[in-house]
Amino acid sequence: MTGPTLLLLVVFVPLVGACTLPLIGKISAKVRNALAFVFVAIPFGLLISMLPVALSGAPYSFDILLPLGMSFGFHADGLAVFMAMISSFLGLIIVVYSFGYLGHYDNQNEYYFYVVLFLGAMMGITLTTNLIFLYVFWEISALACWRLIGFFREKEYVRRANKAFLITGGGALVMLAGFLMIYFQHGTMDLLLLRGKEISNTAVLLILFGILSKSATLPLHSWLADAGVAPTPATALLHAAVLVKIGVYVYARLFVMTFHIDAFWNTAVPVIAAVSALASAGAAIGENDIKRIVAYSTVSQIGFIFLGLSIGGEAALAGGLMYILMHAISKAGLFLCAGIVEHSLHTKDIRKMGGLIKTMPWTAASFFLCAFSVMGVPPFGGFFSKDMVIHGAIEAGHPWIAAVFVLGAVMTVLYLMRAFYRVFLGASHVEHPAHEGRGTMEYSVVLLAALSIVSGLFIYYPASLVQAIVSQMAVIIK
Amino acid sequence: MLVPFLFIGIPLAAVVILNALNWKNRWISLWAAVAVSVIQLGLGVWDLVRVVSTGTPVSSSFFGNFTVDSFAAIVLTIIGLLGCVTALVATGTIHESRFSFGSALLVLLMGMNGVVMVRDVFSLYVFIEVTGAASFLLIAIDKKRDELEGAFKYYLMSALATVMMLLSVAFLFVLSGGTSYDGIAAYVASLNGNYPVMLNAAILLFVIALSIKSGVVPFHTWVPDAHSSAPSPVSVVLAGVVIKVSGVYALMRVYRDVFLNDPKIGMALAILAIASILVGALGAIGQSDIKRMLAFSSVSQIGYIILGVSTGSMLGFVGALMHFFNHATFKSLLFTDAAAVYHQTGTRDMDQMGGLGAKMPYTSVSSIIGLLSMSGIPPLSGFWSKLVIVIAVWQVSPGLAIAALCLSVLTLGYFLILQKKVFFGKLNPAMDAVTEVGGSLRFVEVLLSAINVLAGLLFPVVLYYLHMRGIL
Amino acid sequence: MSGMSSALPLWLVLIPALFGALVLILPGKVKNGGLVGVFAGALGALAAALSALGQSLEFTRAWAGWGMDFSLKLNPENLPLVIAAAVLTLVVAAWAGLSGAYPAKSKVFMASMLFALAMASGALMANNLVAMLFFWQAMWAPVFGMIQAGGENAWKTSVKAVFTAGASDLLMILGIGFASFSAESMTIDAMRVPATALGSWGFLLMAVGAIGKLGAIPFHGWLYDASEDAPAPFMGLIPGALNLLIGTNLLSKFPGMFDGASSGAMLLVLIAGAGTVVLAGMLSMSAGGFKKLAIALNVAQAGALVLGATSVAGGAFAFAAIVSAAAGCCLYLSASQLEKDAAGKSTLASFAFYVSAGAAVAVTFTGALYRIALYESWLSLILSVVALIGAIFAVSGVTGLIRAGRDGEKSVPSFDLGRAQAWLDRTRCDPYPAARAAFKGYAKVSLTVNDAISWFYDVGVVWFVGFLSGLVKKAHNGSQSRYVLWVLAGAVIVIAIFALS
Repeated sequence: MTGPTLLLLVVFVPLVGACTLPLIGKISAKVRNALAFVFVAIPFGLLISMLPVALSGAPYSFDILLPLGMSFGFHADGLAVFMAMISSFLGLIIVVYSFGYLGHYDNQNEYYFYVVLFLGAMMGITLTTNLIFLYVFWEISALACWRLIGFFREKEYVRRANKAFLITGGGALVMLAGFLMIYFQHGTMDLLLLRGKEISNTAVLLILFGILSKSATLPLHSWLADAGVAPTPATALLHAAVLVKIGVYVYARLFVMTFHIDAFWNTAVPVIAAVSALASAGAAIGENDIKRIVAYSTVSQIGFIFLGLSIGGEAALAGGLMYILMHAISKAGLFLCAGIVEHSLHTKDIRKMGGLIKTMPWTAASFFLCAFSVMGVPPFGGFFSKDMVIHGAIEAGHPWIAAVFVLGAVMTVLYLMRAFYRVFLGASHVEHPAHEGRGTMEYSVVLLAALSIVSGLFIYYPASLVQAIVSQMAVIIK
Repeated sequence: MLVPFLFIGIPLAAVVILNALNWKNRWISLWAAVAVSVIQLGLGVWDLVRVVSTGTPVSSSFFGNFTVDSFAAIVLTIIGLLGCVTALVATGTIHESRFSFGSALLVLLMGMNGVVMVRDVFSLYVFIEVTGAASFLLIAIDKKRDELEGAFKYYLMSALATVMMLLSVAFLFVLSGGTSYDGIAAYVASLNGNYPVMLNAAILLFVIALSIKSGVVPFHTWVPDAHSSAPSPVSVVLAGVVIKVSGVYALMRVYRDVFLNDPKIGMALAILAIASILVGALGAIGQSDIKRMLAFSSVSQIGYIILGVSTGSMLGFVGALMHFFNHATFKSLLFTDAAAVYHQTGTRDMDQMGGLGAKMPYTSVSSIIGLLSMSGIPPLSGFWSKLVIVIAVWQVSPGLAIAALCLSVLTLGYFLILQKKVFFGKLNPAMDAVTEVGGSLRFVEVLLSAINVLAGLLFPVVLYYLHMRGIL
Repeated sequence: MSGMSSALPLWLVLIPALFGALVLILPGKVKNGGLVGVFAGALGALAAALSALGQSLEFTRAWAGWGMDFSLKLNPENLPLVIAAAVLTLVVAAWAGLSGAYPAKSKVFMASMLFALAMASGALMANNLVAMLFFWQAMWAPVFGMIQAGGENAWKTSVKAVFTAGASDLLMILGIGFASFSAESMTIDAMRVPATALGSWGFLLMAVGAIGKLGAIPFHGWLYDASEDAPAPFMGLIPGALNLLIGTNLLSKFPGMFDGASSGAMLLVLIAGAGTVVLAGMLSMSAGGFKKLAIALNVAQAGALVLGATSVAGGAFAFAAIVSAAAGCCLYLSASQLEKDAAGKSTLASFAFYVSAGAAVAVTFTGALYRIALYESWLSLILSVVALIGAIFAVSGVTGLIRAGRDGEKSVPSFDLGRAQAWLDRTRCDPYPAARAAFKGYAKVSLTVNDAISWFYDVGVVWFVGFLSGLVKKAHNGSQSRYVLWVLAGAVIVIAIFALS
């Protein structure tokens, strides 16, 4: 199979496959579920097989030039394959979790359609070679996000879904203006042709609107905490593991890998990220809705990722990429655990929980392990990512920004421990009896918790991968 | 060559045959309209292929000078498609006046075809009047009070427009000694920019007149009333082609071929266009009547088309034409959905609806497709045409382009409002008995959705083709 | 300096860790399985450590990249400490088994003991700052697990323990970053941090980490809670032994790592050390019980160890570390024993208590006197004298308790420090409640900020757009005359555009 064929399969199997799901779902739910899994497993498998080539000097790539600065093509270098692999892998786990979670709800065809469509869009975003097609896949992901947040169709949920669509869509439009600015400056919007080119600060600012809105950074973050009304696996997919990573990935792709931007942004973006991280950490300490706590935590952790990617220097960059991986695993685990609790208790208010470790020991343990990874405690994977980002910031010459983020890290410990003990320890304020998660729901969270610890114990492997990717990026940046 | 005349001749013949004989089956007029439209669709495509491959337009001087160049061919195809769609929607919704409806629709088709194909301003005026007359008829076809009022308002504004147009034609005749496009264009070119007052007055009058017909702000006020009070299929055709052909097409043709992309006109059009985009979108947001919202939305989208035209460049023109096509397909789709909803629920008031997605899946999904296309969300067709327009405008004025781009978020706003109120929510208990539409309405929804999706997916290919031909 | 490459250091970590994992997956029916597992693991570690006597071994592997190597070193300098860690774990396990105080059902507790030993050994042997940090901070989870085994209400304390460690360890991460960046190296025995501003901050923040681990003030508050809520063996093992070993071990590396630091940073460390000693001394005077006195004495000796940090290296510090760890462990275990059987006081326990109290006091005095002897500046002299006074207070505290026990009445401190003492008794100088309140306040502020931003989107923008659209709607009121006016207005605009362009 040739390179271009592989690339097309990776992107179009989920995109096209998603369209068949509602039709098949009318006939058999089981077949539809199995196919949903297959449509995500195929890109994941293909990506793994592509990894060695991706890290070499000649990654799979093709590019067809079109008029008006557009081009249609895919380019699977280390960074792209890394991000795509993480996304599809977590997509798989979440699809499996969904089998158990969605059991008796309506509109399942629509759910699987949009989840698989979203993952296809994600593949497109990571692999695309052109800014316009980046925008195309970006908006497809926004469409899926809208339908999934409003999935249960309550009036308030649809309002929140609309809010998310408007904020991210508005940000995306401003970003598109930035893309066009680049087109008029350089005559093309092809990422391969634009490598190494300089762009104006205005263009960077415009593009940042899109990036910050998608990755829920203050002040464009307001939609994320509200989006917890989506079905839990959708929340985990969109708001922990994948959708919020689109912004940071595009940041790495555009501003680290492709364009030369003013050094001013090496300080400005970390500062924005710092403010976002601190303000959302504070909110997480005060919130009483478990999903909102985890959502604010995501906003805060994304700040750390931005720190790594934007502050400059290889160590920080490596830290940022590592953080994307570790955070995706652990934060998805946290959301899925929260989902099990919610599924069982029908409430998200932590004041109505407590003492659940007795009836839900596996969920409690999984939550604990994932939380410790997010907190950055060894031997979990999150320790390394947090450490690398902070030390990377110091090495990039910004010790004070690093100090601010350490304060953010302290607050991470505070709000996650608080969430843990309010839900699982202490006296019980539970109104219904609770039961442990069942079937695929439980296996998924245990798997993610196990991955959190294994990724730390065997850090050598992810670290080597990240090192290889950063080396590849460094060659090109120079 | 006979072919251009056929676009006039066939509908005319059909009307005559329908009304001369006494048909037992009253549905025949609608099916005749469908047949004629399909023929037109075919002829339009054939002509397009022929014109593009030979590079010369097709003319016929049988009964008047009608010419089909590539621009006209595309528009004729669109008219054919929309005629077919309208007639099909009518078979599902119009009952009593179906016979007259079919005849009036055929006259409308004939009128629009004429507008597209003529080569002189006086004939343009004539055919615009024919189109107008047919539209009034169609709006008021059921003779209900609302419809009559809407038709009347439309008529009044239209009368204003046509009087201005006639005056302008007179001035142009006096100035250039003829009324043909080429003649006037030659005259204008010879002036080298020194326009006498009478010419400026003529241009002004023409532009204002066609702006009224197009429904650009601030001449748009008749649009919401006409659309909302018209019967379902009439809204479809009105928004889908009538406004665009008798207004926008004429404007495009006259601006390019007669007044030779005069920058004053361009400037005026740009300002009117941006105002339309803004006011149309804002107007749509506050509405509770579904058709009124869609009508305001038309004003807004036509703003985009005119914005593309106003640049005076080839790219802008192409973008405008693309959006012309896309708007025809997505707006007619949306009005069809509105018709479906109205006929199944009995109301146009969105506040009384809710959660219809569960009961009307086809309508719901097709409305999502139509609205996504309208909002310019890729990969649907509306995105690409908007993008081309924005790029064309950026070449002239980056600020205006950014404004046009960012105002799209308002479109997204009313899209989401419509979805939330009508389809995407918990089923309103009052709507429990509602079922999905069947038959021709469902067929139209599926057809138009498919066109939107395919057009969107194939757009890059179209762009590539145009690039190869050296047009872009 | 570099030794023979060998996997033994790694085994020293793996053996207890693997036994710990084994204990966790052990089925609950196996009686005393946890205890047996702990013995086996600790003995295995001890045996491995002993087999390295007289050798210098090293285990280095590439790990997480960017200077973060997995590097363990076992040599005559840290071997005694490693052995001490294993021995003390055995002692605690034995005590737990004999006294019946160990949480019989808690596999988590027993496994955590082993994990803690493994991590502590790793921290003692680590030769790379990040590897050391890895083991150092990895003790959070076992600590949490062990305190949790203390019962239903123990969660408050386990959370407090994690928060306290969170503050000190995360600041230490910052310090490690500063230090390794300034020294351009992460290898502990090879790096030299220059005395720049950044280097001094590195010194200070890493010292904060050590201060926190040792349980010096202000990181001592959780000890009081833990002594009540956690199972007794926990106190003996962690704050009593392992924490002291690894904290002191880190401090002993300072003179080698840092090429001096700014006087400000050094001063702050001295203040921390001296302050801890004197405040702990005051706390010991009003201890009123074995457990509280044990805590106070341990905190005092921790303070003394901090005092020595900036200059003592190598053997002397190692000796001090082992003595203080043994004393601390013994203090906690015997105190717990003594308070448990209030009647028939075990003479062995009393003996053990007072001997270890004496040792702790001795360490405290040594630290203070040593500092005086160093005499770097008049400020350090003052601080050392303050520490000395604190040591004297500690003695008074011990004698007071002896007297109380003998006379059967509440101990009266020999020195009456009035209001200061009263304040100390009330608050124990524990910043935790204040910190909690501060963060709660901050949380409220953040929520308000976030709510304000949400208000902007949910209410503000929506209202504004609605307002504008309302204007447009009003303008389309259906009146024909209004529409004609629009057309006229439009005509005027177009004419104007024509005229002006």
